[in-house]
Amino acid sequence: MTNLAFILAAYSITLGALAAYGMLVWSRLRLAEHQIAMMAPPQEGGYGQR
Amino acid sequence: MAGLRTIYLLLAKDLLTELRNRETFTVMLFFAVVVLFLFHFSLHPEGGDTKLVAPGLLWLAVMFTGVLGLGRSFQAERENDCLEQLLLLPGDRGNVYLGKLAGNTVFMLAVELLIIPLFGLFFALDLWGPLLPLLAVALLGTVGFAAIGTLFSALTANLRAREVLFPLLLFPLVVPVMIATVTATSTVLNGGTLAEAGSWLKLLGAFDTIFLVVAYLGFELLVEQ
Amino acid sequence: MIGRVLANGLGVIALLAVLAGLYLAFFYAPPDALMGDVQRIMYIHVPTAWVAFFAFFVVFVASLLYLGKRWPEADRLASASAEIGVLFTALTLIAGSIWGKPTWGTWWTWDARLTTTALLLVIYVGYLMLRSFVDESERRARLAALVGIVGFIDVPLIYVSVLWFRTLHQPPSLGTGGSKMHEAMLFTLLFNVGAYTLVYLFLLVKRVRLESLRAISEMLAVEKVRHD
Repeated sequence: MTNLAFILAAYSITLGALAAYGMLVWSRLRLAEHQIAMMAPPQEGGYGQR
Repeated sequence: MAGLRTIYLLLAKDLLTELRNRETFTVMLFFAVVVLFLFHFSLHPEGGDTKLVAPGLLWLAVMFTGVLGLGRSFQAERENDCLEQLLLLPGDRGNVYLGKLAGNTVFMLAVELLIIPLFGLFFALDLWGPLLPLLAVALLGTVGFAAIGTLFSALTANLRAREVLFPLLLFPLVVPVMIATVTATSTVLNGGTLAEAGSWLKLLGAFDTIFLVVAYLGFELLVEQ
Repeated sequence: MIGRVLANGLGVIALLAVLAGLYLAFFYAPPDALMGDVQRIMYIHVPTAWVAFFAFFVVFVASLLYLGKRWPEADRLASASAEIGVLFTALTLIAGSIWGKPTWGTWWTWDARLTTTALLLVIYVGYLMLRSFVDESERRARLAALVGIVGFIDVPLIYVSVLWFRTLHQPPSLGTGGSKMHEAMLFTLLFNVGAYTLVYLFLLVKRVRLESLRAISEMLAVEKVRHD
């Protein structure tokens, strides 16, 4: 059934793109955290930092 | 009322400046003419279909021309740092918006008054019969377009790539006005009465009202410091 | 610390919800009477569409908040939500197109919902481009907020005008039908809507954090230059 190809395409593109975006954000977060750690003395990290 | 006076003064200033050097208006007019030529050449010359697409082409030409004129509407102020002075005037900043809107609308309508007969000529349409309804549609459509256009012209005034950003931001937002204007024009040109075009004109009027209110408030928020 | 734990916890829950949603979509929900199995694309297409519009609602609210309170956090929220919203909108259009081909025989059609979604994409891409052209953060936030607000208000207007235009030119033949949905299908759909909303929220939290860190990074860099 060729319709299976359509179903798989729709799902894999959507899920793949979301996962890729998530990984992109995650890798940039790590980079940013690293940059800050290099510039400032380590403080109690996590959220809520201004 | 100080407010009305501000609006009137702004309108008068823009009109007088334009009358003196006629830069913007002339450019807009000839640009519209060129666009109409291009539309003619891009379609099959004798095809009967041109009558179907003609209303759309007219308003496309007007919108492209309008973007030219609107894009320049705050440039003069920018060059002489006049915008800050204008904003120091007593009263609502919104009056500056209304003054600019009035000027922009007048310019666009002036161009349209010359372009519409040319359009009728190029596409072999009879415009005398439906003239009044056509002008009503033109007025409502122009006000709607200029309402959002004036706000975004102010918004993009000092940005780099303004010439590209301004149309990019403006065009999707004016789609409702464009659809209503083109459809109403089409109805009117195909022998429909004003009543038949009426529901589209009412929709257009509603769009205009919403755009005016939102743009007016938006302008005040834009220039707030 | 606890913020990060909560955020990652949200991510885990979102992932589990998506997986459960996939199971429901493929094994629990029955195939459509007319369309067959292809209709299962709905269980990811409709959720992403919902999230796309919700994301822009968040942009709208965050923009209003910024103009009202001038909180930089509100601007970061708007920026992050717009970016994720653009992603979900694009995905909605892609999945919708893929669904359209076997169902309606065409990759694209100008029906009111698709057209509005496509214009939504253009409007918010414009929003992101505007942001990239302004360097001063206060000005960028203020200009973007205006576009975010005006853009959102415009969307229902676009929908109405396209809908009227369509009923004029083409009688509605491509609706999804007024037939009531099978209970299992409705449950699957709603569950997946919830799952992808959780995905959106997780991505949003992470993306906002990225913006905050970048702001801190900038501030530290400025401080460093001053002290050296």
